[in-house]
Amino acid sequence: MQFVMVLSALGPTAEAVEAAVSFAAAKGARLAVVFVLDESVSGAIFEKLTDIGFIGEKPGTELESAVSAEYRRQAEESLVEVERAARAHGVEITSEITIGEFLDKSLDAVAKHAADTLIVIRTRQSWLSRVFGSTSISELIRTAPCDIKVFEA
Amino acid sequence: MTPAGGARVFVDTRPMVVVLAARSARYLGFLAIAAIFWGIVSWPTPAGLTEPGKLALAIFVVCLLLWISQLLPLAITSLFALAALPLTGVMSSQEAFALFGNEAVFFIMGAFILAAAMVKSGLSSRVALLFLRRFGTSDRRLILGLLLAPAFMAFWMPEHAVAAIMFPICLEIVNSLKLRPRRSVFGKAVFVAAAYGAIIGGVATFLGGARNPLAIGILKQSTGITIGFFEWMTAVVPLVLFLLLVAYFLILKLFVSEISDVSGAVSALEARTRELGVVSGQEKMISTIVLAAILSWIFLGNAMGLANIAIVAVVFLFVFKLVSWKDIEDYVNWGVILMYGGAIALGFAMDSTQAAAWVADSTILSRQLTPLALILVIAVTAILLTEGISNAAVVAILMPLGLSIARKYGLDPKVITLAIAVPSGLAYMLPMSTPPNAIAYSSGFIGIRDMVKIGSVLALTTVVSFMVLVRFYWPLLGLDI
Repeated sequence: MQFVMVLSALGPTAEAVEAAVSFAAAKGARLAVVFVLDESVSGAIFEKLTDIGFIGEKPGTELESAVSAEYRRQAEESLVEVERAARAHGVEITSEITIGEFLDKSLDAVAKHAADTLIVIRTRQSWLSRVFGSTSISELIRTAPCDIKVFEA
Repeated sequence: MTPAGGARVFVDTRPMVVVLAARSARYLGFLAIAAIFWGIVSWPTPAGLTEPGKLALAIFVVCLLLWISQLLPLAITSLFALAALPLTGVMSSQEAFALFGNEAVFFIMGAFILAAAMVKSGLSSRVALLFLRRFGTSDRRLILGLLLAPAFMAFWMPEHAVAAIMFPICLEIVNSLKLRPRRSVFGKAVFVAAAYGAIIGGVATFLGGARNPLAIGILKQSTGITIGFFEWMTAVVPLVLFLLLVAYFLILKLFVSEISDVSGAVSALEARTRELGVVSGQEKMISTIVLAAILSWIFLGNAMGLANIAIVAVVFLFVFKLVSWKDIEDYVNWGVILMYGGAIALGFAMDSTQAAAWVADSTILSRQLTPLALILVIAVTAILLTEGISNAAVVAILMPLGLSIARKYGLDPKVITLAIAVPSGLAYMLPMSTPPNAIAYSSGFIGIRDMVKIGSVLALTTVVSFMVLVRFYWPLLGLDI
């Protein structure tokens, strides 16, 4: 059985990672962890800063690079943490960092690993944003071609 | 689903009404704003409002909605105001575009170019590191340094530039201490301190935030009165010092440090300082020119004109080949000039057509408030608005109304200007309310809840301490209420 766990910069907590890995262990599944670095997140922040903060192009670009580098460092740390948790539960694991949009890269990972179950972690949402919002995770729930397990951080 | 060889197709399963609303929201927004504009224009002119006043009000409402909704970039909305005023006959094209050449706009331009030179040469990073090295011997002292360094720097350069300089330094600190995002409380304290230092320091002078000269520009254009560089500092610096103190103790109280040894951070800061090498001739020259400009603004600002001093200082940067025009283009966002030129023209139109006076009469002036209560209402409105929209937009929206209120109540317009400009620069609670918050939030160390928790307490303290300042300190400076 193959599980794919997709992480993003805004989501994971130790509790959610632990719960997800325990779930994989309970099902006796192998785990492929993909951390999606969504560059549109830092891009959107700096588009806003340029507009409302009137930050110059060069400081804006330098800042964006610094944020992207920090996200990558944090992604590497998150993967190490999941790997450690998986090994502690005796779960066989592979991990990678990929750049792109969360939804696209999640579906790519499902296809690449022929996943039986997709595990994602999301932040808590109000009922209003669940009804009217169209987050990447809600899109993923609708479109994933396999079982999907969502843990709330 | 993915068709063979084709692009991935997503089926949106939300209700059709929701899907259509989500996809056409932007255009519906423009339509709604156009309908509101048309509604105001075709509305019978009420008593007390002139026909040009009604048109100016309609343009003002459109700009207000566009600034709040951010359907257009702020600068483009301002540019729209500049064209809409002559097109609707509120003022001639010559008048409208002449307002774009306001002294405040050229002061802002000069100040941004001087700041660009400081950032480009590395002078600003050196100042920040020197400051931090003096403080970073314990966790508490490091937080104090992280608060004071950007605050001091934001006295002399735009707060967003300071926040951008502080960000890599803060990352260096948290990484050297091996702090984890979202989990380390000390990590939260590091980024909050740097952001709040820049924000609080940014209200101390005209240089920390261009909204301050914008407010002065609207004040001078509408009343002929101005506030000097030194006069502003004397009125505001005590509040800044008090808020820095409060912010420091709040950070220590709400983000109780989990670490005791900051030697890793000290070493990292020392290494970073060593990388900068010895102070270059270019840095020395730039610091001399900037210092001369600051002293001239303080002591000769009223006699020589703030914009003239700024421009002469910029010319000296080029005389000594300290920067190139390419550097200036890279570091200065010219949108700021468009935003402020249009905002000043709109403010003047609202005032000269009596539209602002009519709005003020129809709202707050219909109630009998004491001057102190009125200032409280204005300050609270400014501090709440600035959490949701750009602080420059808050100044552009409130200044025309505030000056009319001052006239009706017989209040010193300088007091109203300060009551709008100072709180509008103090956005603490939300990541998108001001660039320093957004930069701190983008680190991943702080959550929105953290910001709201500490920011709401600090905002409340700001309002109370600001009112104490207005009531007891400003009268000593001749700023009576």
